[in-house]
Amino acid sequence: MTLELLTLFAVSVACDVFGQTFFKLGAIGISAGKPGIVPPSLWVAIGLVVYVVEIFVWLGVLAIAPLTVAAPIASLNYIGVMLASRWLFSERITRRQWAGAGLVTLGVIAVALTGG
Amino acid sequence: MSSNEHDDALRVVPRSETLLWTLFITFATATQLAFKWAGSDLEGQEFGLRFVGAALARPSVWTAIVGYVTMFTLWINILRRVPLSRAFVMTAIVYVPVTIGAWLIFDEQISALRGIGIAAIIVGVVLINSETSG
Repeated sequence: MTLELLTLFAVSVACDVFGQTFFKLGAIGISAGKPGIVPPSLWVAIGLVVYVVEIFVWLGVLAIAPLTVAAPIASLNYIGVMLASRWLFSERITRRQWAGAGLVTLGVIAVALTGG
Repeated sequence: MSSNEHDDALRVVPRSETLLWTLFITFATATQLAFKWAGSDLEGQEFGLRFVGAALARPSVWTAIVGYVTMFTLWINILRRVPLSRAFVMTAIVYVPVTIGAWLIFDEQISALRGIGIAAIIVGVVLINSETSG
């Protein structure tokens, strides 16, 4: 695996983590019902922009690696988003939930190996 | 829906978590199957302006676009109620109805590896929801 491909993978997973984090910030803002420093719709819009960027990053990945190789590696986004939610939003994740997330990730890797 | 909370364009009607998930999974499944349908519609065509034109003339592509927009609205509303750590992993459950749908509609075979993967996803999602301490 080349350095370029590794970087593209890392950026792709980071896009998922940041995109979902911005969506969550927007959702929290909507529920709070009072305007924060950043309006909820702006958080959501930033999240959408991140996902548009990811489309091009992902096209870059698929230009180098076949889908059955790329998709299983991209499945690490589940763990990435879990870690980010724990750190940024102080969400409590029990041991059983970590085990569940691990199983889901392995399951998605298996599905992705068969062509997604 | 009557509420004293601040109104927002991104808020939709269903308030129950179960209903939101049911709608999300339904639309996500329809969107994925629409993509498969669109893929078979557009197979072998070269990407470019003509491709985009041909794509936009297909009902399959419009189903996928409408599905994406609806999923997005539902997703923001799921995130208002469900911790992100739990919600994001749970979206993987969509692979289950998509696999069954692809088998029923497009006659796609379910390999042993895919069957094992789907079983792992189901068990994983059950584990994640067995403690909703998020």
